[in-house]
Amino acid sequence: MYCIVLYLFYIFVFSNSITMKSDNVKAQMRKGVLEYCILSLLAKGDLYATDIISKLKEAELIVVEGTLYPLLTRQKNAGLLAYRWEESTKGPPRKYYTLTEAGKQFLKELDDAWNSIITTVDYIITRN
Amino acid sequence: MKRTFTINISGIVFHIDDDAYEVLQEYLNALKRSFSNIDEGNEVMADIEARIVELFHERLINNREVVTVKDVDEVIVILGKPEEFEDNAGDEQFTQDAESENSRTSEGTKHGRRMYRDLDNAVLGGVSAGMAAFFGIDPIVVRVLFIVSLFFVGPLLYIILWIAIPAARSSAQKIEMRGERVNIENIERQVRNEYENVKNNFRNYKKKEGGRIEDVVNEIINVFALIARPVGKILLFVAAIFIFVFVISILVKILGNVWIGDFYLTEFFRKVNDLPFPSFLGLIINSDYINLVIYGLLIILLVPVLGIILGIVKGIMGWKRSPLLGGIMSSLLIVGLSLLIYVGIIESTHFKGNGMIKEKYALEIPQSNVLHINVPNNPYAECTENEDSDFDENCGHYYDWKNYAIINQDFSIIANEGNLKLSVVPKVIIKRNQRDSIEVLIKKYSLGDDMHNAKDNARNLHYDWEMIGDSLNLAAYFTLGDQEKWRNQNVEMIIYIPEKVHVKINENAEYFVARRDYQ
Repeated sequence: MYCIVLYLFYIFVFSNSITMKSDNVKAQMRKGVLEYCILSLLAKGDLYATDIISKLKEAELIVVEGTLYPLLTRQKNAGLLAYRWEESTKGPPRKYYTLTEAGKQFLKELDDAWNSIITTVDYIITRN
Repeated sequence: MKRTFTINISGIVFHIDDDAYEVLQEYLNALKRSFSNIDEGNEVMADIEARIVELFHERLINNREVVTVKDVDEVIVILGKPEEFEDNAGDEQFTQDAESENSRTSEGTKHGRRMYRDLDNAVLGGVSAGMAAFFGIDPIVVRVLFIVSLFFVGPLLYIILWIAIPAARSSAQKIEMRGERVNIENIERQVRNEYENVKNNFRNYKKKEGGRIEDVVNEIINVFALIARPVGKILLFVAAIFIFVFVISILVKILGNVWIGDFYLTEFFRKVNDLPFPSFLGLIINSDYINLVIYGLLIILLVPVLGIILGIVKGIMGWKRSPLLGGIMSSLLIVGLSLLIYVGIIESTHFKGNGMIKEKYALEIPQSNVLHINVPNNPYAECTENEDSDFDENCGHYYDWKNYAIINQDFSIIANEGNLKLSVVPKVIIKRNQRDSIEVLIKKYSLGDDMHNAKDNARNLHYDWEMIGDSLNLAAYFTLGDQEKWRNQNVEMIIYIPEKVHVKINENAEYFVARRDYQ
């Protein structure tokens, strides 16, 4: 009897980790393109964090704002973005982000990478 | 009316409800935790807090001055919970957790799943559904298992679980059953529920009671309790001590047969008197070990009782728990147990071997062709209990553990200055044979250290019988040799009597002569 329960327990663990992993894959995909999209958006003009968020939400790429802040900060620390403080009527001063030269360069590389990925994956998929 | 806190986020002051504060606090802490392992964590927190300020400001319009739980909820939904953040740190954390099943790391989000009965998906009592939800498997599997168990233990397993597992009635319980993480949202919900519950309880309480009279009664009870509590504690303490002493004395009495006095139930102790335990032990095991066994038993029986009483007393008096005490008691228990096991092992070696001795005798058929089988009066068969005296005529009496007698119908143990005499009723069987003489077969059984020793033990059994004229006189019991210990000795006497001989058994012999193949 105990063996059966133990066995079921293992099945549960296993199946759980499988489903978690597919969610993980999607999350990984989103995460991968998220940084690319941020840079793309900034290429068209300087933006506040909230602007970036609403545009991403429009595209349904981002659901919660909390995802963004760590990313923005990381990109800034990597030198891809820069910001300046702008006074705001809605509260404390806000960061106004802009793309740096390094960022523009990086963006170009990502564009190339993205195009090649799209081509490759398309190719694989349609080969069926 | 609610209490508010005054907080500041990013240097901006807010008034916030106390329950909202709790939720916000928890959320911010969770965020901090999830960012604790990245370099830019502080910066990110600052960004987020600034955003929170904006979001609060958006809501505090139309003369609203205080941030409520609803506001905080909305903010949390907008900003998202730490586990929803799709960034590097988050992912690693969750991959790990996916693989380590139920054990979340100390990031603060625990997988708080509890087993409940799922009434919504129930067939009978929801036991299977609930268990299935807990393990994350299909209820059908669990039901099949129960059916299988039906063959082994009947419906018992299901019934026990039905009784033991509570039903998930509240939505919080239902969430716990499915194993949603106890995190911000759930905590907030908990906080809110509890808050509401307390509020409602107060309201109901006021509604139910009649107001004035109840208040007065409450006051009286309070005053009374104020006085009674310390007194009550003292009384309970005394009672606990009393019970403790009582229990100890019972145990000591049983084990050591010490007469405490008329204070206790004499009836009970009279019965106990008839079987003095240490003496009884002396019959089986080496007298050196008797004390060990007694101590062992005393310890094992006393320590738990002591523990329980101490626990009660501590609970009443509010003393601190002491792990040292627990440790001492457990060690004592182990000591006691080891004593018993030690003696048990040593003594058990004496019961390993099995041996039997046979003695055959042939007797002449009496001329009258009638055989009388006689057994003398067994004085112990008339053991009666005399309620008035300290010991009973003919039944067991006890002076000390070297001089005592345990007596009943089947056996008797008499000790005289340490010399033991065990007398046991033998088994006598009468059969018919086709010979022309009476044959007597006596089998003596015994256990011992090994077969050789067992046979020696068997040889040392004495059973008196003789044939005088036409009477076969049998003793009422067989005895062990001097100083012999009990080794499950038995004596069997089979008397083969030719057909033509008529057998007469006297009334005393009726008791233990088992007739077989006889008229």
